Amino acid sequence: MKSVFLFFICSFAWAAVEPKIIYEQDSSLLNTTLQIIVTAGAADDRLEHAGLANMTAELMLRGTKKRTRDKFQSEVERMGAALSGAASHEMMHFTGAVIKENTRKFLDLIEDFLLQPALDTKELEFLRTETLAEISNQKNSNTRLTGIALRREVFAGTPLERPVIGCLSAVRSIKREDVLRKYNNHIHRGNVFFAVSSALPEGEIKKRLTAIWLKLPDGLRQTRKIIPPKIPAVPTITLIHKPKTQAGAFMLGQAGMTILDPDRYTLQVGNFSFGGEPLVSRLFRIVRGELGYTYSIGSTYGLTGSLSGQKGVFAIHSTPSIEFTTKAMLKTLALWGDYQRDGLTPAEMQLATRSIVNSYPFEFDSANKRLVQRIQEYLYNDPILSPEEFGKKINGIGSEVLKKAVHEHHTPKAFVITLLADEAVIKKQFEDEQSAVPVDHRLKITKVMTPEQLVE
Amino acid sequence: MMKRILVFLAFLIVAPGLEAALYKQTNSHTLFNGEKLEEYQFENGFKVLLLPRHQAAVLTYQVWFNVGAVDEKMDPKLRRTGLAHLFEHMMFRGTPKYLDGEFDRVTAEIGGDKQNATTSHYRTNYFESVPSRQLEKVVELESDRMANLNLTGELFEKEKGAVVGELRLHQDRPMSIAFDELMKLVYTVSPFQWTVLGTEAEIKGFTLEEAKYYYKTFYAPNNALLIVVGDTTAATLLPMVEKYYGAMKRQEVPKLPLPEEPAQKKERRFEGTHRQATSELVVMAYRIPGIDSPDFAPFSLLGTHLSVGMEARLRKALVDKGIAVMANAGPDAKPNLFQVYIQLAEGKRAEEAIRIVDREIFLVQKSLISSVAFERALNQELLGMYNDITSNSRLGNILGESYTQSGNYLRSFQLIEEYRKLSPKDLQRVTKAHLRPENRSVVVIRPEKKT
Repeated sequence: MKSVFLFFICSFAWAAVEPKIIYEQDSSLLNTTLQIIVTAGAADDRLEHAGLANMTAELMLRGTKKRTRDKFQSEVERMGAALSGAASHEMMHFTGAVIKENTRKFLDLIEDFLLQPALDTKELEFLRTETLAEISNQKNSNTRLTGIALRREVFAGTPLERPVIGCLSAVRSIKREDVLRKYNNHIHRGNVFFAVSSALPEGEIKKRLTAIWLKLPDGLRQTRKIIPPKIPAVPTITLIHKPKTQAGAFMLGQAGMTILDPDRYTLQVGNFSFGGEPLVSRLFRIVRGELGYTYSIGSTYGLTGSLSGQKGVFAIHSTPSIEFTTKAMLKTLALWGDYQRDGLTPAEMQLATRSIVNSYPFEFDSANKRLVQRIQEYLYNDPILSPEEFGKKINGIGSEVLKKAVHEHHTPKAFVITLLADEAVIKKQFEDEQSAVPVDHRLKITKVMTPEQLVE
Repeated sequence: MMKRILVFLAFLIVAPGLEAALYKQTNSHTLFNGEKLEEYQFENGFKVLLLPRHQAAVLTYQVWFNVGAVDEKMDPKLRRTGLAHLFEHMMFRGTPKYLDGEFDRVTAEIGGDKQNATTSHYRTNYFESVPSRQLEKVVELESDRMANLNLTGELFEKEKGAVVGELRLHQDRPMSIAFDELMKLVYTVSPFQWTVLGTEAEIKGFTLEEAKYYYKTFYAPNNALLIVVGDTTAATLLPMVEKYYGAMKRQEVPKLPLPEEPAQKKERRFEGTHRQATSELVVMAYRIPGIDSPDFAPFSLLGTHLSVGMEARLRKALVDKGIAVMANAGPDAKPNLFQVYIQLAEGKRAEEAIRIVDREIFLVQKSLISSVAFERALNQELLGMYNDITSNSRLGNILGESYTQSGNYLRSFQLIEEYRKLSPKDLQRVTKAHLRPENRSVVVIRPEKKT
């Protein structure tokens, strides 16, 4: 692995002796939902193999040593079940749902694909064809392209540079041996755990899943590596040239935060009123509501996925009409500067804290949402707070605390912008809109790329 | 098995003060999962559906209006499209009591989740989920904007900018444009041929007077349905609804019958290019009976057979073979169409996808689908419905869509009953009867040639 990465070992490796099964019983459920989580994902693959984790997860569901793909999938779907596999940078995960009467039969199929996937060469070729088409199809989404470009800028040279689906060149090069190695190295007792919501008795399901888990090979849980984004000291703007586009898209990126960041709740409160909450945030009220430059604008710490062990990226994103693209970007930058200098107004602070506290019950209003909370607790040692604890934590955040946290995590000067627009149109706009700004202080396009280059 | 008790209760509820209330319970149903759905009617025509559910201290609150883009096009005082949608945006622009931005601020402050609104050809809905202890505040907020909206020229003009931005996004998406073209092709006299968003000229041209007329005419209590799913009871909800909606006056909502679309005699095709398309795409539509028809359930299962799941027929023939990235099919209500839409992989030709769709439909017409395939489609429908009803907001959506599409809010649950009585022969029958080339319209969009 290249030395430019900073690696931190966040969790100690250990040999598990019994399976972790998170169970949410709810007698009102008509379906059983099962998640199988493998704590090794795309971040554990080499950049040249971007997409391997995702392809491995998908290929595992395309036939087993006992059942052809058609037989396996037909059995799953005929019983009223659905099963999908995918990866994130942190993990591979399989999500299944089945009408509750058929839960037992469904678990037999779970055992089959998890322990004995065929990982068949012919199916790999079918999957590759599909995946390549899907990667190419990302060129149809302007927002997706700005996200891909941003990831590429801030995680250059690391396994996080590419989306989990990979890129054309990497997916073309993945061989069956790579998939087999991924399966053999990562699907084992140390990495695999289960989460279930069901109306059925807990004991019975746990017994069956334990039996499956015990048949997996032994192994040590994957250690987690944090790969921080690299933000240049001066602003950069990558333009994605797409001719004749009527609605531009831009993203402004800086370093994000991990789920265990001590300032996590403080920054979430700040972001809520700055740009995180549609309809009421400062960005939305001003750039859309008052100025009418754009249909959508917001900011998030979750651009690269929900908060996790990775620091990820904080991003401001918008899709302005083409004639307002530069105006919208400049106004957004001004608002970003104001926020960093002054934080939130008392009214914005009050709105954020009250809203976040009052909406906390929605984190737990269904069995599946409770499962998500408990999975996060297990994965990251992130404790689930009672409403009282949560309220105390959020209400204890004051304006000065927020300003300090924003100063420590962000800077008004250093950021990466990715901008999708027609090159000729936007260059002229840059000149016109910044004509009163001294040349040295103007924002400049530092790189021009095409959608084709981004997915290749 | 859905148990439905169609008992007409129609008795007068007595409020705590022992005065006769302005509402009565008009129906009660036990849904297939055992939950109770109650229907109430106010004197001013305002209808309320309540499904109490106490697993969590939250609820979903949805207001559905029986008005959408087709109505404005048919209304002799408007005759344009885009206002229904623009007006939906204006509903967030404040009242004398809650000024511009206050609705959103207060809803967020009380813990509102996913507050938003949508407009379609036939209906407009407003929705949010809130902690149940905040029920009265949301009743007040929603009723206030339904009755007392601030319609000023300045706000109206500002909102047009955001709506034009939304239109531009729509126009940049090849699939959205393909559907716009499809509606123009299928309908020659029906207002379904016009887009919900309207044109930029129409949006910019709307006057405040037109907006005021639209509001007064269509946002009437007798043209609306309130759906509440979650942690409350009739005893708590209804007095609040009475307090805030009870004084609203019933309005004369114009009956705007849609012109009957002439029968289609031959296939219609449109081919075009789109500047943002990177691969070809095909959308097609067959005209079919509406959601009230007994043929709708077979069409629904047919859509699942063709495109839901890894074993779906079109997925295997198109996506698995690398010809398409996505292939979907299914019936829609209002407009009543069986639609197939395919995003091709780069370099693949639309003609190949059309040939494959034709072949697969021909095979369904020629020989019965297997009992295994039929069982798969049925169980996938059940899985989807069982999943949807666990969510307060999705259950609310099912009730609201069914009501505004058919006048019968239980229609989606009845379809589940109907599926169980079907056989592969029913799928074959409706396919033969309606999925004929002369009953079809096809739109192909290709990338522009690079210069």
